[in-house]
This record gives sequence, C-alpha cells and structure tokens, in this order.
Amino acid sequence: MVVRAVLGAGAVAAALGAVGAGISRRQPALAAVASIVAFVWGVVAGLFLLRALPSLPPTTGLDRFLVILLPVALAIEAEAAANWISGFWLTAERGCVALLAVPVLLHGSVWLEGQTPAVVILAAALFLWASWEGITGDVRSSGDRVVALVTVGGLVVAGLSIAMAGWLKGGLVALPLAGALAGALLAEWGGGPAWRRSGSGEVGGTPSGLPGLTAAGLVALFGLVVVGRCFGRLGSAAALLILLAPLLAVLPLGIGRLLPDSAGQRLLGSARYRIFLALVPLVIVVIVAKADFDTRLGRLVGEVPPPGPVAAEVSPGVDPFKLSRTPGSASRRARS
Amino acid sequence: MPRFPALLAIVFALAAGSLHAADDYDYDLVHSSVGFKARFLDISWIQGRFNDVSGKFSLDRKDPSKSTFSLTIKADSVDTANAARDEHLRQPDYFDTKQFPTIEFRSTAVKAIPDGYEVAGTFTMHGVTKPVTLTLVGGKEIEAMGKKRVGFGTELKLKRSDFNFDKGQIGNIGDEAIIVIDCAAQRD
Repeated sequence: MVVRAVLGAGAVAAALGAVGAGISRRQPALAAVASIVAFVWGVVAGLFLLRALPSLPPTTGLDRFLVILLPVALAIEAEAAANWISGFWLTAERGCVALLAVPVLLHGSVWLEGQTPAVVILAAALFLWASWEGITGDVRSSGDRVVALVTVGGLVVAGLSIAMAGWLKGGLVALPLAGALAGALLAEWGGGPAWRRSGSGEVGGTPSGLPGLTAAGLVALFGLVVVGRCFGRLGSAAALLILLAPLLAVLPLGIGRLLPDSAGQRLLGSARYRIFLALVPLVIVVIVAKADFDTRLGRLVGEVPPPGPVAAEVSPGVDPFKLSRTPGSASRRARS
Repeated sequence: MPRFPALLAIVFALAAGSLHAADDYDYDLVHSSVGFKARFLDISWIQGRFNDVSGKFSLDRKDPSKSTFSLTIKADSVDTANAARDEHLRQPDYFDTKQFPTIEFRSTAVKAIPDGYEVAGTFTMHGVTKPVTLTLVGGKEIEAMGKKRVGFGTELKLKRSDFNFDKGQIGNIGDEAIIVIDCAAQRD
C-alpha cells in the first residue's frame, strides 16, 4: 500500500504536471501554477491510496498540517508563480504564515498551554520564513534544482524517522508528499514547456514552477518535522538535522559566491558536492532512528508471534506442557 | 411580630436544605484503579492501566437524580508494564496524548438501582465525545482510617474506531476495548 501510494502520488503529479505544461506551453506563468496544482493532486492521490486523508474539520496536528499549513503555503506560491501580487506582499504573506505555522500546528495541544516559550515559536517562525523566502528567492534567480531534490530526500528521511520512532501514520504520510514532489519536479524538468527546453534550461527570471515546488517541499518538511517532534517521538537533534539538510545544499553556493577564484566556486557550486553535504545529516538521522527502533519498538514488534492457532499436544514421553502450532503456522512464520 | 414566622420558615428551609445536601467525595487514587484491556491478535488480552486519575462524586442519597460523577484520566499515564509500548501508545497512532491529554467522564443523569446507580453521561476520549451509560455497583458509605469512604465498580465497553483512533492501527490490537473502573472515594 505504501509503495502504491508513493508511486501513485508521483505518477499523478508527473502526469498532471506534464499535461499542464503542455497545455500552457506559451504561458510560462500558467505552466508554473500548473506544476503546483499537479503537486497538490499528487499529494491527494497519494494520501487517498494510503487511506490517510486528513479528517475534516482538522483535529490533530497532522490534519492541520495537511489541511491548513500546506494548502496556504501552496496558494501563496501559486500567487507568486502567476505574478498576481508584488514581491513585498509575497514576503509579508510568507512572514504571516511562518509566524502562525507553529501555533496552528500545535493548536489545542499541551504544547500551547504554557509548555512552549514564545521565543521558541518565534525562532521557529523566523527559521521557516528565512529559509522559505531566502531559498525560494535564490531558486527563482538561479533555477537550482538541488534544494528541491534534497527536500524530497528530507521528507523521506523525516517520514522514516517518525515512523520508526513509533508514529506509523505520521511517518507514512511523508512518503506520498515526497513522491508527489518528485513527480512534479520530474514533469517540471523533463516535460517543461518549449520556452525552457529551447533556452538555457534555467529559470533566469522567467516564471517557473520550480521555486513554488521548492517552497512546497520546504514548508512540507518544516510542518512534518514540527508535528513529528511535538506529537511523535522525533528527537530534537534529528529534527534539527533534517531541517538543516536543505540549508546545507544552499550554503556552499553562498560561500562560493564570496570566493574570488572560479575553481572554488565550481567546487562549492557542484550539485554532487552539495547533495553529498546535505545527505550527511540525513544519513546520520536514519542510522540513529534505525538503532533506536531496533532497541525499543523493534523488540516489541519482533516478538509478535504469527497469528496461527495454538493447540496443546499431550502424548507419552513428551513434555506435557509443550505447545505445538497447528499445521501451516510454521510456513506462515517463515513467510512473514 | 409578623416577621417571626417568615424567619422561622427560612430557618426550616435552610435546615431541610442541609439535610438534603449531597455528600461530596474526592477520588482516592491510592485505593482505586482504572484499567483497560483489548484483544491481542484475537488470541489473548493485552491489559494496562492509567496511573493518574482524579474525580469528584457528589452523592445525594435522598434524591439520587441530583448526584453527579466526574472522572478525569491523564492519558499520558498509560501503563502496560512495558515502557516502549507505553511510549508507542502515547503517540498519535493511539492516544495522541499531546493533543488529547485527558479522557473524561461527566454524568448528566443519575438514578438509583438496587445495587448502586445507573449513570448516564458523556465520555470524551481522543477528542470525541459520546454518550454512555455506566452501571455503578456499590455506593455504601463506611467510615475507616478517619474518613468516610464509598466505592464503586463498573465496566465500559467501547470501540476505538468510534473515537476516531487511527483505523490503520486496528488489527493486531482489537477495535473493542474494555475499561474497568474500580474506585474508592473519600470525604472528611
């Protein structure tokens, strides 16, 4: 079911993205909006296949993430892609969403009953706003795809870590998100409109779905990590390392721009180098999550006997208290 | 002079009121337990309890319909004698204790029955409130250890799916859960 949900999300997002790009080939702004819409439908399809659609009205942090935070962020990015409002208002909108993100996600929970200092909420808001605004702006001008790819990886790692820490549904929800983002990125890259394929291949100020998809990935990653940390058992260090990954994919670019020689710039700007750098914290998080799973929940799950009926077998010369499984249970155990 | 009968009437009324006043009891955590059990793979029962419970009972023995019962269970205090499983149960796949920290019962109607009380009320768990009727067996007051004490026992069967628990987690652990409440309460 999980594989089907991930592939379904990716396929729907890729197909809709390609169709949208094809229909609007002479209108780049429309194509950009289409890629965001493709992501949305990919997520919906994936969650449907996973049987994890959020409840309405939203009652949990995960519901509020999927029903409120992510759609609002995507609406803002659709506005940005379509050039409907000015940059100042976009920045203001992103700032408002960043400021309200944590209170919305934690609404009604014990975290907002005096347990969470306002400074933590403000710091989280500042982090989201700065990374959202800064990275999206950079992607808009450079057409860089590395951060979007890293957020796909970040979503997968966040999902695995949350699931292995004991919140299966919270972790699994991340996988269709990653699938839909990967599908939409694929369509945006490969099935993009003719104006981009014939050009330099970069965005360079022309409207594109890439900044919006990158922003969607960043906000999704942030929301998922916050609910995973606050409602699941995702540790603070793991949460920070996951959120750090996209920044590590961008940081070398910024440092490279400060360097005078072109060799250093080339090295730091290299996609392979940046992906490797971003993968380091993600791999660490997965290894630690797996070790934690093995020592805690793995034992709990591993001790589950196969659901075969058990019958007492009493015969001469045999321990009368020995339990034997009915025929077929051993093969079932072997299969499981 | 005409004021005297009125004053007397008020005094009698107050006295009568005090005679009918309900007895207020506090939940005795030390001598009580709220446990639960659910089917495991449909072959056995898995059992647990909640360690942090509070409540208030107001018993009007003359007019039981004026009695009230309330119970608040801290979901975070779930204890199945396995720390890893308890952590798992606290997460959103099960109780989601950060979002829904308490499980509550509030009575809405009480009537006396031969062995105790039939108490209708609302049961709130996992953010969902449902009407339930409990048959509380007990209610006899005794005096011991310097306090007046009363005790009740009851069982409540419910389905986790009715309380919006994650359906993906209903399988190995059965949908139906039985909550067993054995509580003592005390007053000075």
